[in-house]
Amino acid sequence: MKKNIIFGAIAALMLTSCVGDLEQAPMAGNIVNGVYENEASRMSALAKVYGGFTLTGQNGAGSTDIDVSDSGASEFLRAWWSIQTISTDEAKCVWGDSWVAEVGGNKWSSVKNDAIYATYTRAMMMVSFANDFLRNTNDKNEEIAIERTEVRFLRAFAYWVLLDCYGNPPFVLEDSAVGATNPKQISRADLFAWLKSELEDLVSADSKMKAPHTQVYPRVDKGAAYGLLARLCLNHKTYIGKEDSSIYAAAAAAADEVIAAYDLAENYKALFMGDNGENPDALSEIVYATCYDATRTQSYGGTSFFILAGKGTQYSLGVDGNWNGLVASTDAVKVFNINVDGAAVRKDDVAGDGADVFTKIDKRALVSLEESDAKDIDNKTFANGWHIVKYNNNHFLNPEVDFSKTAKFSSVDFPLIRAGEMYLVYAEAMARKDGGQTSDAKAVEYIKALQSRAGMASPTVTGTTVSLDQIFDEISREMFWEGQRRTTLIRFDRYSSANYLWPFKGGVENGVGFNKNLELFPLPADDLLANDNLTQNPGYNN
Amino acid sequence: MLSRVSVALGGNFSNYVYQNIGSMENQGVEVALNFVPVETKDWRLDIGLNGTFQKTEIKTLPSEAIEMGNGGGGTGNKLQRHVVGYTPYTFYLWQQAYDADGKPIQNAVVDRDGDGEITNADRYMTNKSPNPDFYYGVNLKLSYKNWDFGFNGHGAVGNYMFNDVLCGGATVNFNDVVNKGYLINTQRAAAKYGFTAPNIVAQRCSDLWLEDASYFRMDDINLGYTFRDVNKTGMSIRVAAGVQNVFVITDYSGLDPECSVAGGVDSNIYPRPRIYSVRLGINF
Repeated sequence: MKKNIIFGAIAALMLTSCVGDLEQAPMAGNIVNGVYENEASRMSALAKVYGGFTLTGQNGAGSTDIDVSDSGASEFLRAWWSIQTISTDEAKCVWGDSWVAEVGGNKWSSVKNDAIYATYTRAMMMVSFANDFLRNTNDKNEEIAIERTEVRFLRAFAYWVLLDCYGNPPFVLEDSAVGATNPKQISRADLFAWLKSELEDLVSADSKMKAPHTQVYPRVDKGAAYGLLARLCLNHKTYIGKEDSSIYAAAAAAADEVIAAYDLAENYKALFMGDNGENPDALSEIVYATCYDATRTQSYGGTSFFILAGKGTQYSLGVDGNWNGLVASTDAVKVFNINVDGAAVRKDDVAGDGADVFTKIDKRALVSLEESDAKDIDNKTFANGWHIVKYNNNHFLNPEVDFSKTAKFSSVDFPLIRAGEMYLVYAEAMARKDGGQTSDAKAVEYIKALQSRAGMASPTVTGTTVSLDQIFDEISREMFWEGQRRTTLIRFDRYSSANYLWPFKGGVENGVGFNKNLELFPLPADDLLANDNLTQNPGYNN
Repeated sequence: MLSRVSVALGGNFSNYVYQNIGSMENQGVEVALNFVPVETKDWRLDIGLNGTFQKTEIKTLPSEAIEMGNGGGGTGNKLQRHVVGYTPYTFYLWQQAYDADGKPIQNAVVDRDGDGEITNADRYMTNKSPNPDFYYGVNLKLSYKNWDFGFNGHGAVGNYMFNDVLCGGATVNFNDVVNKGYLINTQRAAAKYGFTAPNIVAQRCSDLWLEDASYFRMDDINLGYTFRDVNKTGMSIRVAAGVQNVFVITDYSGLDPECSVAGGVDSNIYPRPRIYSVRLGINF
C-alpha cells in the first residue's frame, strides 16, 4: 500500500510537470517576446544598441558577448580607434601583442588580427541588434517612432565603419529573420548609395527624428545624421572611386546644418575630460558621443584604453593604472608648431593655468615629454616618444579632485561626431569642389575660428583663401587621436603612398610606402568561412 | 569533436557557436593489474598498477587550422593549433635560436622559411602537445596485524607545458630603471638567460618556453592503527596519519606540471596545497 502511494505521488508529479510547460516563455526577466512590448524593457533594448560601441558584455568589464581572445581589446571603440590610428602617423603601440605589430607596421593579412576582427565583428553585432529592434517595433506611437530613427542612425554608423574599413561587408536589414539565411555581400559603391539615401531619409522633413540639438544627451537627433552624412559625402571618392562636385556640395550643406545648431566649445580640452557629458560648454559642440562611465559602463576599452595605455607615470589623468602602450612620434606632434627640441617637462595641467609650454603655442597640443625620455620612438620602448594627454578623466569644472585616487575606469565620453570636425568638413569640401583652394568666405572663417579657439600663437590662415594643405594641417591638429586618421590620410592619398612617410610606416624605421590594397582591411577569415556569400577584398588571400 | 566555430555575422547575436565539427581518432591500450603477492595470517600486501597508452589525431576539420591557447603575454597571441594529422592542442611556435654555447639568443628565432624576415610563416607545428603519451597510476597497501600503511600516486609521460610564467618574467625594460629612478627586480628567467631587452612577439611565443612536463606525483601516504573490539563492545577505532600531495618528480621548471585546467599553458594557477592530516575512524 505504501509503495502504491509513493508510486502514485511520483506519477502525479510527473504529470503536472508536463502540463503546458513546453509553451512557456523563459521565466528569467523579459526574454524574447516581452522585450519590445513594455516601455522599460524597450528602453533597455534601446540602451543595448546605444551601448554597442562601448560595452563588451552584459556583466561589466572583462565580460564579453562575443567570442574573442580578450574582452577589453574587442571593445568597438578601442579596436576601431586602434586600426584607424596605430596604422598611421598619429600613434604607435609598443606592446608585444601580435595584432599590434601587424597594425603598427602595416603588415596585416587575411590571417586573423584581433583589432581588425573585433572592429568588424562589433560593427556587425551593432547591425544585428539594431535590426532586431527595428524588426520588433513599429511606428505605433511618437516615442517609438523617434527611437526607431535613432536605431537606424546607429546602424548607419556601423555600416559607415564597415564601408570605410572593409568596403564590401555583408549587408542585412531588419526584413531578414534571425539566423535564417547568410547575409549577402554588398559592393562598396552600393553601400555608399544606400547609406547616403538612408541618412538623407533620416534628415528629411517627414522623418520622425528630432531636430538637430534637441534630443536629450547622449541620444542622437538629426544633427548626428547630418554629421555622418557630411563625413560620408566628403569621403565619397574613396568609396565610389570618382569625384563628384555635387556630392562635395552635399557634404558642405550637411556640415552647415550641424554648424547652425551647434557651437564650438570655448575650451577645447573640456571636450575630452571626465565631465564632458555634463559640462554645458562641451555639450554645445558634441553632436554624437559614445558614453563611458567609471561605474556604470565599465570596460577595458574606449577612453580608458586611450588614457591608461597612453599616460606616462607622472600624470594622473584621473584613472588609476598604467598600461604603457601608446606613443606618438616627434613627426606627429610637430604639426602643433611646438619647439620639439626644447627639453620641456609638461606636468598635467588640469588647472589650466597656462604654465606649460606646449599649450601656449596651441591649446590642442595636449602632448608631453619627460626630460629623461628619448623623443624618437623605437616602437618597443614606452619611454621613447611623446605621450598624449588629450583624454583626461579629471573634471574640467571641478579641477581640484584627482579622480585617479578612486577611478579604475574613465568617464570621458568619446565624441564620434562634433561641430569642430564639421567646420573642417565644410572647408575641405569647398576646397575640393573649387579645385584645391577655396576663397569661400565661410570656409576661411571656419578655419580661422578653429585656430582662434586654439589660441594659436601664430595662426597659419590669415588671408581670404584656404588651401587643402592648410586644411590637412588643421585636421591634424584639431582631430588628433580622434580615430579618423586613416580615413583622412586615404582621402589625401597619404596613407599607403611613399610620398608621405612616418617612422615605422610599413614596419621600417624611416618609413616606406606599402601596398595600396591595404587601404581596405581584409574581411575576417572566420566570416568568409561561415558565410559563403562573401568574397575577400582584392589583394588578400582567402 | 565539439568546438567553438564562427557563424555568419549579421544574422545572429554572437560570432561563435558550439558545433560538432571535424573528426578525431583515438587509439590506445589500457592495462590494469592488481595483485596480492603476500598474504599470511599477519601480513597482507596489495599492489595495484594501471597504465594507459594513447594517441589522438585529428582526422578532418572544416578549415586548415583552428587557433587555440592564449598565452605569450598581451592579448591575442595564440600558442596552439588544431590541425589535421596532429594531436589536438599541438603547440605552434617559433623555433628559438641559440648561440654557440647553447644559450638562447634574445629576440632571435629561426627563419624557417628562409625569406629573411621573421613572420608568422616561420612558426612550426612542434609535434608536442599537452596530451601525454602514457598515463599511469600506482597504489599499494601493506598491513601487519593492526597496522596498515598505504600510498597511491600517478603520473604521465610525454606531455608538454608552455611555461608562460617564465616567459612573462623574461622581458626586461632597463629604460624603466633610468626613467623611474629606482631599481626594479630583474626576474629569475631574465637573469637565467641573460636577457636585457623587452621581448618581441616571436620571443614570447618561442619554443624556448615549451617544457617536457612528464611527472610522477605521490598523491597520498598514510599509516594507521586499528583498535578492534574496544571494550568488547564490537566497536573498532582506527587512528591514522597521512599526507596528501606528498611530492612531485618532474623536470618541469614551473610550479605544477599538472595544471591541466590551463590546457597546457601555465600562466595563472592556484597552487595545490600539501595537506597533513590526522584521521580518526570509529565503527560501531
